[in-house]
Amino acid sequence: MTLETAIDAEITFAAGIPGFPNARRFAMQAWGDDDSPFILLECLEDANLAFVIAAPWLFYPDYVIDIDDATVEKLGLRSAEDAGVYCIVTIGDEAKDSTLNLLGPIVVNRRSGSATQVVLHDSGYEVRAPITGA
Amino acid sequence: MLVLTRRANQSIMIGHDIVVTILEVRGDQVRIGIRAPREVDVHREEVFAALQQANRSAASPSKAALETLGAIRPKAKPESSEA
Repeated sequence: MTLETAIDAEITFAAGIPGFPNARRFAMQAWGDDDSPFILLECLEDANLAFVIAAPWLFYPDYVIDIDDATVEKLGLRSAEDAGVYCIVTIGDEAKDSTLNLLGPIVVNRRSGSATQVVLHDSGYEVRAPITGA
Repeated sequence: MLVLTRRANQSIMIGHDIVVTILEVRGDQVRIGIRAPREVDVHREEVFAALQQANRSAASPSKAALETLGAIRPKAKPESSEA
């Protein structure tokens, strides 16, 4: 499956995300021109709430994510291909100051749209990793 | 705050379906097991706080902020990603 299949989809965080417990349903939409790596995650319940996300491997090719059993069960993942992984982007004052949350990626079941923000405990990844790469 | 004293292998029930079990006490460290329904997320508090803060500062970027993203290009091509 390619990245494109996961875009323009609706995803649901059953338990919200930290800081936004009531934000559950989001629409994923490609942002920018064809070469843009960024995806806009717009909350369907709060028109003022949106995030920018991106696939971490585009910036950190060696990024490793080990999805724990509880998450696999919670999202109903049957195989690795089911899982879409995205990191939230915090936009800095200048483009180069922008960061990626590598510690807490969003995992999505591509088939069902179930999503959750996981924590990669003991991974050593940062909440604010420079988007310019390692 | 409710304060209870427990020994290793003893548990506490929170509501009907959350079980917190003290697994091991060694020096100033305590290992805790938590059984909770799948819709309940369990986090270390300091990690949860870090995620909360990061999510809040990432939320709802302005139009001007979004424009700056146009200057960012990844190292890898989206097509070759396994995401």
